[in-house]
Amino acid sequence: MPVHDWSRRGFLGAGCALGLLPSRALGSATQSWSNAVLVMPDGSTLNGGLRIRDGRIEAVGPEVTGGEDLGGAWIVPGFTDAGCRLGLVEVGMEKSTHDMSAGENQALDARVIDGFNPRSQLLPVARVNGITTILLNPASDGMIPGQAALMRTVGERLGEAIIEAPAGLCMNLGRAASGNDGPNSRIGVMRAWRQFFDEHKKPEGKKKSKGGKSKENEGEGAAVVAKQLRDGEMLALIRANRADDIERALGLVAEYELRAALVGCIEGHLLADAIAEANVPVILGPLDAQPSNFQHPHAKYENAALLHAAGVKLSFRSGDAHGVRKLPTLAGLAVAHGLPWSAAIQALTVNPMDLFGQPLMGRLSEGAEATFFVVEGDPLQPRHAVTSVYVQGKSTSMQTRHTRLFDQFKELW
Amino acid sequence: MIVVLMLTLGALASDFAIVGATVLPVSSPPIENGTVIVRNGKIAAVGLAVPVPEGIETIDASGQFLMPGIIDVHSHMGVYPWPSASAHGDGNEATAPITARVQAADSVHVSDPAFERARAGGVTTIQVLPGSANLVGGESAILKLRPSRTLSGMRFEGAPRGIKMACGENPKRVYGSDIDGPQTRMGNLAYMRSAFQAALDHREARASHRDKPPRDANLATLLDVLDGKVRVHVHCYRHDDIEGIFRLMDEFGVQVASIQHALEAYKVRDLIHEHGAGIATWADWWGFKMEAFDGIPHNAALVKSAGAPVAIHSDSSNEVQRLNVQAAKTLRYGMSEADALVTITLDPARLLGIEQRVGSLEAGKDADLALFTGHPLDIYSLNAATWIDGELVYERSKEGTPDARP
Repeated sequence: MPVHDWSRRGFLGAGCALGLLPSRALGSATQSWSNAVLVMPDGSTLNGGLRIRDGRIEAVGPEVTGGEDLGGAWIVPGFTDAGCRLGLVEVGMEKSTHDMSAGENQALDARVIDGFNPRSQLLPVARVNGITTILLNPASDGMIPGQAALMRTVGERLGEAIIEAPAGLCMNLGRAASGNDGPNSRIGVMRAWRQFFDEHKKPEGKKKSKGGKSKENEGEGAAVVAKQLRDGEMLALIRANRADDIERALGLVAEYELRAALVGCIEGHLLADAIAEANVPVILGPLDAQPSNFQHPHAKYENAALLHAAGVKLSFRSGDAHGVRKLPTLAGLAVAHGLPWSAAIQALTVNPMDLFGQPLMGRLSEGAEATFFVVEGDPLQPRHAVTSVYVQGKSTSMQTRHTRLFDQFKELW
Repeated sequence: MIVVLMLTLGALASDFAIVGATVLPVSSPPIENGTVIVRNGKIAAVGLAVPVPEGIETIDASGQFLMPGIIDVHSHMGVYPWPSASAHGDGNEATAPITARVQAADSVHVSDPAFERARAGGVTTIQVLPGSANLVGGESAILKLRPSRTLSGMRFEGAPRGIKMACGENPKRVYGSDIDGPQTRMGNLAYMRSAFQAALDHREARASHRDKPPRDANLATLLDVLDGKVRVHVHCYRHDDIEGIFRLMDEFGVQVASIQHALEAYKVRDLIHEHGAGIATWADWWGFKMEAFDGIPHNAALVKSAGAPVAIHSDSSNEVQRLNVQAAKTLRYGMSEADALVTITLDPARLLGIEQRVGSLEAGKDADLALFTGHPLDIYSLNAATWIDGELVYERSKEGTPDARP
């Protein structure tokens, strides 16, 4: 957990981080399910049951009996989309519904939670498909789009939805960094990155760096974020897709000793060994990236399988808003192209939670948060419907904009 | 005996039999351990105990699933070829709201690498459409995904002509700032009405002996539409736009073949069936614009239940590679397994008017085949091989080797 700066985090973030705000009312009764297929933290499956109490898992495994008989349905820890824009946009082409970025090339102190609408109609659509947790990131234009946040896909108040904010700083290499009036080439982008890090160099010894304001367009908040970044308190979420951009990203991570994850990484398979050697985790996606343009001409379906085989720790991101629900199917596609099923499951559950410092989330294990869903079978098969979703032990609504429209028109009138 | 001898003598090097697979004819129930015989580019026989003629190659596909080649009725491959680049935008002739005279075939980049990726997904026939900037965007190109240096090598010979029309948000957005519009939905339909009327007036004027107006390629194509010589595919999302298109087309006696995208088709599925049209839609796209905000994943199953043909289309050089997965997504929203396969084979063939040639495994049809490693509605299955007109055009096992097809 980063050392928080109270004055700058604001009451919401601080309250949440320290549990001062009442969070969702936790389910208090003991509840159990049996005769299920359990998806375990190592990505294996096990026949058995689950018992929860006060929003936490009390027991999981073959020894748990009684309660609701699931008749062979599966219990799966809630999936994480480790990079999406849920709640930042309602209608794609309607700009009036967009709150996706601060609109500046370097927006160090921009907080994505300030654009998040917990009542967005897109959130339930993701949740009823098993996605209970998201890394919310600003739109990817610019060198520094801003601060990401770890969120739940439940709740009508911001305080219920936020797990951790900030959860990392979104940074771009490649042409995406040119957005919002940035340098118009990779040459300019890398020059700007070196300038940025040199201006925010670690002070030598205990000497305080002079002149807090290094750039005119940065307030004090930006200087604080830069300090957190260089001290490793803030996770650097570095988006790079073309192989040479990934190499440059690894170079920045090594030179400035950043605590980092690579985001996107569409051509990662070309550098799988180097990424594994640098021990930098990857938030991969979109998983169906194509060799469709000059920014990632070597995209291929086997990317996830090859990175995993090299020893890289993977999480998955959709990069989407309306299409977040496609993520499990896309993970299945990675399996079809060689990724072990267990690795795909871990990339949707324990891996992102470990990356974001949440060891009691994303897993069916004793003491972990009771956030999970029940599904007809293998959750990566598109044909299997999710039948219920529990968050912190509490059953959540399966109603969405889509089910309401279906109910309205299933009989014509 | 004589018959067998003749068959042996008549066997072409290209003839073959696929045995051992679970055959999914689509037009009839699955056949476990079935046999499909291909002769001279056509399906010669499909069945459980079909004797394999002597002298022809036999392919053992035990454990695999054989289905008809997949058909995508809404593609922009070739007209927006990879790599996407400003110089590659050849899909919208957005110079006027009515460009009936333009033909997608004239834009198709025959070497678009996306074609090869679609073949790898078991796709054998596509309809390339102009974009939706215009009310009448131009004629479509129906192609077989044969590896070819030439457009003529890709043409689906004998396929009916098709034309792309569009209503709703796109045309009014593209032309909304033009003095002549259209700026509104009512402007869209008024513009179409005027164009059809102008075509009829043009015919009348051309028939007179004096003051004949010069030929007009736009109006000539619209007359072909009015005469029923061209199948009409209308990009249309909202339910009241669908109703409006039928209202307009009924005025001129034009049959609409398909409503494309059709995200609110479920609200007026009875009207679609009554008109005799079908829909082409996605399994799960929604919300990308206002007229897509009421899109629901139950749409395909609901429209199918009303009796109209339903195609799952891609409108994407990406998703075209996995139309079987898209079809699988409809299962949990009420579609049967049999109907889900129809959405990517026989129903798209019906929308294009080529159902006598392709879309199912039946004797006499083109030998367009897709062999999957498992059931095609299973996420873990991959297309292993693709044949078009009996020619092997893709083999997964050869990918990345010098033997791979260009």
